[in-house]
This record gives sequence, structure tokens and C-alpha cells, in this order.
Amino acid sequence: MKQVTVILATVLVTGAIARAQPLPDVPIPPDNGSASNPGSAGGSDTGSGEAAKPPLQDVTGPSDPYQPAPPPKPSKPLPPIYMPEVLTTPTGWLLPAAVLYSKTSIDTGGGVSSDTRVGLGDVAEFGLATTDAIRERDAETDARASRIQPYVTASFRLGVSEARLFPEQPGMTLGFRKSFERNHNEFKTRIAELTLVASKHLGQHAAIHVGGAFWDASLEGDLDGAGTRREVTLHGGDKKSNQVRPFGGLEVTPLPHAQILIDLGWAPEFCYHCAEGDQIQLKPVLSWGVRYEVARWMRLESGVRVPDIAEANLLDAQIFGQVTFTSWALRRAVDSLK
Amino acid sequence: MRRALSLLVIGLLGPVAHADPTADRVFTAPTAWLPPSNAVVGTGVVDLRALADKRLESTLIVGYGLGGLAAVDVGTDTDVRGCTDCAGTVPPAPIYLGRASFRLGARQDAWFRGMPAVVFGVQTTFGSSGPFRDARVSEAYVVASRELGPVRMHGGVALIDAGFADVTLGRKARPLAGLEWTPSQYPKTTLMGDVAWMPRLESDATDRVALEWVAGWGVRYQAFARAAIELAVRHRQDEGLGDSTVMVRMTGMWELEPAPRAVIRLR
Repeated sequence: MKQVTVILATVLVTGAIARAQPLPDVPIPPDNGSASNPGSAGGSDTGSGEAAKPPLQDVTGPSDPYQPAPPPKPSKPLPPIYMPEVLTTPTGWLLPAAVLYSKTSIDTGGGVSSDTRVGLGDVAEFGLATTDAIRERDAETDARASRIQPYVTASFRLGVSEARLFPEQPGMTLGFRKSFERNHNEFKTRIAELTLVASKHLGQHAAIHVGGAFWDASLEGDLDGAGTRREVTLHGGDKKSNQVRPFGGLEVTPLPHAQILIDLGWAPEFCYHCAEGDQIQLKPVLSWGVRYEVARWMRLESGVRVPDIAEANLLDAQIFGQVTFTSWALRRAVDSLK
Repeated sequence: MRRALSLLVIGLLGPVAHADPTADRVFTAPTAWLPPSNAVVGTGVVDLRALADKRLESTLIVGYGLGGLAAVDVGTDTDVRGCTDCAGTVPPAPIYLGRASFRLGARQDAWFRGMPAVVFGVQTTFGSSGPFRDARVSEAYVVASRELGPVRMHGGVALIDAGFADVTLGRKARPLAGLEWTPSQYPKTTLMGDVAWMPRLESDATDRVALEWVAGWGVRYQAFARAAIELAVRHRQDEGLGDSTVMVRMTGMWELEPAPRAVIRLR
């Protein structure tokens, strides 16, 4: 009996409290400070004797306390993104500020590579990549060179965008790419590349890229087969011209979403037991292919790469496919903080 | 002769009523047709003679049209053959090869009226089966194709190289040709024939790579607008008529959703 009384009392009290609450969908009248806060109302009531000001809100009924959101600012149209690479060689174009870029590539030679970059303030770019372009062979008698992969590199590029200084000015970038030390087959290798490249649109449907690269590389290991390790470097050779190579590329846009790309670049090849001076060589790489803009944020590229075009070895040719994503998300996030 | 000349003139000067066909090969010889942009093309081949011998010789290739300018495909085929007892009575066996190709070209009439479709293609392999585990076959070709009324003609030249272990063929140039005829009475049926060269790997007393011609003839039935079935016979050099292969090939194409509006704006 006592339990029933307690339960009944609890239900009645809870019901009374619930009735005392406003309905959830009825807006609460705004507190204008006249009735519930006498202290603040006293200022107007005392002294001047003028009538109390009417409440700011319409007395006929409750109003929406929330102000309508201001109209959104018209967003600026996004500028086009010009790719920082043709197929394998860098361009004179930089990513726009805070734009993210990611490229993943596979080919028939078993190569897998990736490249991630971010644009810095419209004047620079930072990236981390794995490349499959570095090759090795044990001796000159090796008919085929094999890849050292993954080969991790970091890159930094700075430059001036096209037509920034004067109308006909090409886009120009100075880039530096350096690898982390790579241990493979008990040989330690490293590469570094300094590039200067200019890119220029030729009308609406073509662009050209021309540049020069200053290469360096090192190879450390038992190069003589005598059990002692030593190091050779590209800069340690007799000719400094061995380190300098020109490179370039061409882009043609015959259709609105599709580009034909051709480029010629260079990649180091390490030969562990070759003659002195031939242990680090730069080999020309020819690539051609097509870039298709599937969406504004996604591009598919495919083509052919010949790792040592000087040998013109058809069996070395690789068919590659790569997908590139670009994103303005970071840029939007940065802009929203301003 | 006059009829042939008339046909040539009509074919060259007459408007192209429809888009290029899409089959990238007649049977063995490549064509200059490219798939539409953003289209996926699937091809499957079964060798009926091998099936009768309780073996499975098949080809499965998936391709993609890149922007209307190029096509890339990847898959596996058994076109290349190899023998380990080449002087014996056992014919060379097919080698499963992973293969990929990239084709870049221009469509009919793209640059000038009457221009044939032109394609520059590279095909290479990645992995092989059987005793030729390190077999490699590469081919670069230029081919032109043109519709002349009910006839489609294909002609070009291929640069072929192949090898296994330490043996290589070296670059060899060979012609390739194909012909298709769609009789007006049977608009869904096409008679086809082609000839091309393929490497044959011989791992015997002396390892070597030879080239052999492959000639094919057969019929395509365009069952649907985007799907076709073909029945063909292929003969190879140095093979008896009884060793000819009979194959069924099916091709289907799916055009994906059009790409969202995106324009590469160049100054």
C-alpha cells in the first residue's frame, strides 16, 4: 500500500512538472529584461519619469529568436590546376596554394609508385614520393636492368606562375628532389636532382616544357669484390657535364578533356661491378601517353615508357596507368579560417 | 575495275554516317579503331579445338577508352606459342601471357576528309606460363583503317621483339593486313580475314625465337548494338590444316556515365 502511494505521488509530481514546461515546439519569448530583471529595468523607471519603452518585439505573439543566416558569399571560381609533372618530368607550373595532389601509378614492369604533394602559397610545393625509375644491374654483362623499388624521395619546388611578372612570361620552377638512403642487395644508394624548368602555353591547345637537371648520386658497397666497402659518387667523376642533362615535354589538347603528353627525362642506373666511372649512369627515359580528365578532381593517364631509349629495346617498354587526384578541401578549410 | 574505283571514290568522299567501329583487332591483326571516351570494352575468346582436347585456351582482355584519343587494355592471351620438342610431332603449345597495350590515334576524317583512322600502338607482356616463365613479347605497330562502303580495310606494319631466358629475337618488321566485308543483305553479319606475324619460342637443343605468320578468317555477328560474337579459324605457318584453331570470340562495350563537366582551361 505504501509502495502504491509512493508511485502515485511520483507520477503526479512528474506530471505537474511536465505540465509546467513549455511545449517544445513553442518558441520561448525573448527576455527583454523588463519584468524578470528589476535591477536593469530600474534605470528607465527612475529619474526621467518617461513612460517605459515598449518591448522591442511585437507583442502580438512570439517571434523567432534566431536571425536569418546571412546570404552566402559568392565563391570565387576555382582556377585551373596545371599539373606539376608531364608524365615523368617536372613542369614549370606549381600547384595552387593548399591544393593537395596525389598520383598513383602501376606498370607492366611491376613498378608501383606514388606521389603526394601540397601547394604552398602559390609560390612553392612540397612532396613525398616513391619512384620506380631507379634501376640497377650487377655487371655490364647483365642483359637487363632491374628496378630498385620503392625508392622514397622528398621534393621541394619554388617558382613563379605563368604570366605573373609579364604577359609572356613562362611558368618557372626551381626544384630539388632528394632520396632517402636505400639499402638494396648490400649496396647503399642515394640520388639527388636539382631542376630548373620553364613551361609555356602555346595558344589554347598546346604547351611546352623545357628544363635542365643537375644530378648527383652515390653508391656504396663492395664494388671491387674484395670484401671492402667504398663509395663512388656522380660528382666524383672527371666530367661535371656528366651531371647535367636537358629534359622537356610537350602537351597537346586536341579535345577538351584529353591531352596527349610526350616527355624525355633521365633516371640514374647503378651498376655494382662495372668499370670505374660507369657505376652510376644517367639513362634517358622517353614516355608518351594520354591524360583524360574524368572529373575536375580526377585524371586518368596511360601510356608507354621506354626506360633506356638510347638502347631502343622494345622489350623494355612498359605500359603504365596512373590516376591523379587533386583536392581543394584544404584550401577551403584554410579560407574558412580567415 | 570501274566498280572498285567508284567504291573507292564514294568511300573517300562520302560522309561518314556513323562513328568508327570499336574492335581493336580483326582476329590477330590490330585495327585503327578506338573505343569511345570513357567506355569499357571486354573481350573473351575460347579455343574450341582446345576445348575438344579437354584443354582451356582462352583470352580475356579489358580495355578502356581514354578521352577519345587513346585506349589502354590489359588481360591475358594465348596467341604466342612455344615448343620444347620442336622437331617432334607435338605442335607448339600456347603460352599464357599477361599483356597490356596502349593505342594512341586519330579517327577517320579527323584531320582531313578521306583520312583513314590511324593508330600507333605498343603491346607488351608481363608474366607467362609453362616452361617459358620469363617469356617476353613486345610489339609496336602503326596501322591505318578505313571504311569504304561495306568494306573495311586495315593495313600497317609491326615491329616485333620477343625473348625468353637470354634469347631474344631482335626487332623485326612485318606487315599486317585485314579486311572486313558487311554485305548489305546481312547488315549484322561481317566476313573477316587477316594476316599478322607472331613469335614462336623454341626451347630445344638450340634456344631461339622465330616469327610465324598467323592467318585468320571468320564471321562476326553483331547481335546487339554493343555486343558481337565471332567464329573464326586461324592457321599458322608450319602447322598442318588439322592443327588450325577454331575460336569463338565475344566482345561487349559499356559506355560509362559521361564525365562531369570539367574543362581544362588554357590561356
